[in-house]
Amino acid sequence: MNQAPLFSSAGELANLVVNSNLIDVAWANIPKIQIGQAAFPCSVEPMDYSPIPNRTIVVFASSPNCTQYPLPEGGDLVQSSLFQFLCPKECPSVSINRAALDLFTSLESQLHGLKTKLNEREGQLIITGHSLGGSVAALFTLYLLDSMDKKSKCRPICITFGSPLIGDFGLQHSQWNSFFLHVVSNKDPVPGLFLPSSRSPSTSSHSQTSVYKPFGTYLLCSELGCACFDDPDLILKILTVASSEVSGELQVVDYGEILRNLKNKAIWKGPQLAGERSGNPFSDEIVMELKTIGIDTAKQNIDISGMEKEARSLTKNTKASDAKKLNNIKKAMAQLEWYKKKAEDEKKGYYDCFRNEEKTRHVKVQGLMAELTTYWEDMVAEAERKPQKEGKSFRTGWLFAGTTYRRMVEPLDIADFYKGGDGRDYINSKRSQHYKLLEQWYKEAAKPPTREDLDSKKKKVSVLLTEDSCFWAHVEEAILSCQSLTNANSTTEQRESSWGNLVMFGEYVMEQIENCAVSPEIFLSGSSFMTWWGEYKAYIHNFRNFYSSRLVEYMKRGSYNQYG
Amino acid sequence: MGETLGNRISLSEEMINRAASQAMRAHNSGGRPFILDKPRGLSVAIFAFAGSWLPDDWFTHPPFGETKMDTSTFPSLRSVGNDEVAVVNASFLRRFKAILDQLSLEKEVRKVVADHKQVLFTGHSWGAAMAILATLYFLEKGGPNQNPPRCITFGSPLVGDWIFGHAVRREKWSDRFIHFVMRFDIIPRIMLCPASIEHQQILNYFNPRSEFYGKPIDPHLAFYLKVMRSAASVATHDACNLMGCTNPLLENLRNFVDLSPYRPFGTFIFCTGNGKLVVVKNPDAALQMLFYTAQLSQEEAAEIAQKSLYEHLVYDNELQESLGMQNVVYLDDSLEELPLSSDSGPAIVNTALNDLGLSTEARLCLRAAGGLENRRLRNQAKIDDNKQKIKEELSKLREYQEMSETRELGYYDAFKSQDEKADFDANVSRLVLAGIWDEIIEMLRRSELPDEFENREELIELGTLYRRLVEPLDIANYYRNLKNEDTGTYMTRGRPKRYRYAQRWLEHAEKKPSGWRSESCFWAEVEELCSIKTGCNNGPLQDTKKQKIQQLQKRLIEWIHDGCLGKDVVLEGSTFVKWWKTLPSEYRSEPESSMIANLIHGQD
Repeated sequence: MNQAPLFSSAGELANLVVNSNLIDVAWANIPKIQIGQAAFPCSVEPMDYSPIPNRTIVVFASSPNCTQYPLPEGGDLVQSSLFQFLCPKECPSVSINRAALDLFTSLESQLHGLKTKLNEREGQLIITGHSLGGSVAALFTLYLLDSMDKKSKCRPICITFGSPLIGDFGLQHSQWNSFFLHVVSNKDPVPGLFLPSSRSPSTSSHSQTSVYKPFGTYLLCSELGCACFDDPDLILKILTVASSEVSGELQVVDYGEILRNLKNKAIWKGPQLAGERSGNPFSDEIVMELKTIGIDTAKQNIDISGMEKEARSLTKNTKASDAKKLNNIKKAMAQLEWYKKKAEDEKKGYYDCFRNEEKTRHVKVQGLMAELTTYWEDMVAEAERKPQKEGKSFRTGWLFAGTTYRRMVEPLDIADFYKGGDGRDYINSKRSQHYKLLEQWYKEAAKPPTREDLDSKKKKVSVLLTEDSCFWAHVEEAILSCQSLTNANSTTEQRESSWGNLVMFGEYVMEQIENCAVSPEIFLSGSSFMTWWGEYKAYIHNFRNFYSSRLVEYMKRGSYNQYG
Repeated sequence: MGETLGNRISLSEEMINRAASQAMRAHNSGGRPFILDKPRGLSVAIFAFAGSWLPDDWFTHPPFGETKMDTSTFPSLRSVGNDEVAVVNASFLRRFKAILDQLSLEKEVRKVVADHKQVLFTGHSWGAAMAILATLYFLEKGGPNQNPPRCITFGSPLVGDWIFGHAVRREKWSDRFIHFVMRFDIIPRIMLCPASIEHQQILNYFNPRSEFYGKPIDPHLAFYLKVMRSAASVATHDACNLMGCTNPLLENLRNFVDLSPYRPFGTFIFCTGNGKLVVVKNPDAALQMLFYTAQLSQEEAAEIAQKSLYEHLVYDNELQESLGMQNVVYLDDSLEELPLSSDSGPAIVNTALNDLGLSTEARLCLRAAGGLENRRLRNQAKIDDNKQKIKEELSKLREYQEMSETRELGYYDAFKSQDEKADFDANVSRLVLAGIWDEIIEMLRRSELPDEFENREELIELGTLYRRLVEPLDIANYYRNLKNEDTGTYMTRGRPKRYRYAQRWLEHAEKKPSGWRSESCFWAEVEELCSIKTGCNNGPLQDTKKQKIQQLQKRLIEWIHDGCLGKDVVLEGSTFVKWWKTLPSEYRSEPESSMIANLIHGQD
């Protein structure tokens, strides 16, 4: 099949933005307030405007002086505990431009009040600012987004004008990207201020500047027109090129004038280009769009085929393929369930069947395990990459499916681990990280069970899976402890610790039984648990005849026959 | 010269010209809602609708004056699977229904049909909107042997939203509608713009009873810029989607930008103004053309603004000339390969595109529109490739169904028990099929399949087969895992979209009310009724339960007789029979009860 043609919609999106009144509305209030601001050192004041009902506008204005020279000595990046919530787990910190962060921190108490107020609002919320004011607007938007829940009726957008970059790649992973629009003119030196090749007054720490990364969408404009991009590397490149071409003098860029020009451009007829095109609409279009914003693709050595590849991979990653993947996973799970059912018929149970499996069937089940594990490791990793709050809402949809997976598949991993006879202490030495996280998330999300829950659980315990996916690891350890007790070579200390472990194990199992948290298959005659019970019973009989515990009583009386 | 435009759209040039002059005449006739013309020598009756310039007849409420389509009068105007009702201009709908209430229209149309004449609705400007609704009304009512009506409009405003057009295309009515649009005419674009002062100014300019009639609008550019800016918003927004824009900002922007819901449908024929005609059916392409062909350049702005008013009134003369010249370009044939620059590609296409003033940017948008349609066709072909796979799995399940009858349990209960290898294999088949169908549904939800997709008999049949055979297994699986206890009933919380869609396809094809074809949910109802405790008498719960049980018994008999429910339902060991036997006598009613008893004992 032919590859579907690809288009770049950077120009169309930019025109959509320009034709809507959104940025005009955002900009309209900025110059008025800026004039009223005090001179250097910079201060930023949030102001609240609502010209029409259901729309709130918050403007962060900095003084004219500061807009022009936004604290060049504050160009280094510092870590901030305030914005720690942005971090995905795998990237432990996020760094923020010091100038912006200092301003934000100095206003924090005031902003906290504003945040509370805005959280109660409904409708459109536009948060905007110019230059360093825009940086603070962006930080405030992040701060606000973190405090809003999904059901909030407030729909924010942050629009900055000519703002410097505000942080490192810690900001990039967020789905919150959709809330940020940065308007940047190719004549404006400020956005490129903290970039290494910039010819602006030297910043204090060039070594750090290269880690600045843009996030959100950039509306890049020139006298000829505009285009919207959200690829951080491309934006960085464009900003670098633009700032190296701006004359050394810092000059005030009038975004009002720029917007007026763009608005006209957006409905006036574009050129009818003559001459052969390459025939590839994507590259034709992107060359055209970049040219519009003053970038000569040939001269700047921009990798268009790389961009095309990237864009293609983005469009491919669609929901339909997610649905398909999910169904494959369900299929693999059904096969495992069937395997489990067969195992119960053989009176051994799922765990032991797999532990003692002959080769061919074993390999087949391992294939299913591998498929499932790959899928769930990916899901867990993806949730980990997102900022904490977002990751949480991302995973709630599939956490229960993930829990079923953990309860089905981890016992098989445990069986593989102890099978050879050398395995010791699975939980601390071998357990995979994704199981740990799945369990942790499940525990965070689960509600404490009520009496009624327990009653209904009792009725259906036969179809439930053993809740603790490490149950069999505990059983294996208990068997090892029994062996150590009867082993003539064991030291007294080893025996004592083994005995202690067994007492604890007994309590643990009894608790599981009382909570209906284990599957009745553990009592099948061929199961490892029953093997352990045989050895344990013999040991007590021979060496500790007077010992008893609730579990011992329970097992001796044969109460387990009534379980489930 | 090959085929003429008339041949291609199967309407003679003579008829089109006649329609144009009638439409213009009717527009100024005033008083009567339509005029009827039966030209001698032509086997056609032309109903031409009068116009109106009253603001109330254009917009009931700001910003866009839209309303949900009246589905009792226009039952087809919705999406079937996604189940969304089309949106239509509320003023147009209200006025059309008023015309309909006068009865003369229906009477006249019936007479013409009896004479075996082709019914042709036409209208200019506001009258065109009436003609469109009239055509749809009679298409909906039309019998199978009747020659369906045609519709030709001149300078028509947009009438409905995307679903409106989607439904028309799905019903294969699209070719019945021909819209002529002058390159700069403002009226076909006016619905893209929210109600405003500028809007009012335009209507006043055309309204003979207004004091501003025919007077230059002041300021002379503002009204045109306003309409064009709104048109640009809609066009660029849709272009982003056509081009597969992945920027997440687009989604958030929708919260802030008020876009007109109206979209073009039918066959658009753009008149270049110098005798050429450009035909385009692709609705996305037509929208892009509406914006880009009227785009102005800075130098010509004032002149074009004037033209945008003037051109609305010259359709009859313009068409006489263009239809004589027969210089026609059909864009749909090569939308995806459209030349991007002004001097490449086939000369005739390029000249026409240049005459319409289409920039490179515009051509890219048109290509994207063509690309999307081709992608939809490719998706459909991919699904067609999967049909064999679906049929294979279904025949496996049918074997399983037959085999499980010998187990005295029936299909449903055998599957629910998951006792034997065959049950497990059936479960795998169920999951394989779910994967294929879910993908189809996902594509429908994202409009990635051709509009006609849901109206294909083969699909509806296959979907019905699938639903009747496999949904009981999904229900069994649901209740086997006791999902009803923590999630809710199957019908409210558990029923997968793939079955909901398939049921709606069939109901729509059979013109049956929603819920009519719920036989595949029989087991879910049984399970729910089983779970309500019998015994304690009185109470409203028992009353509704009684009603439900009696209803279920009635429908069970119907369904078994229609053959849409398997007889395995009434096997001795099935959940249904076991439950039915425990029912106290007051829940049974005659004659259903003895009929069911007979069924259980293997008699019809």
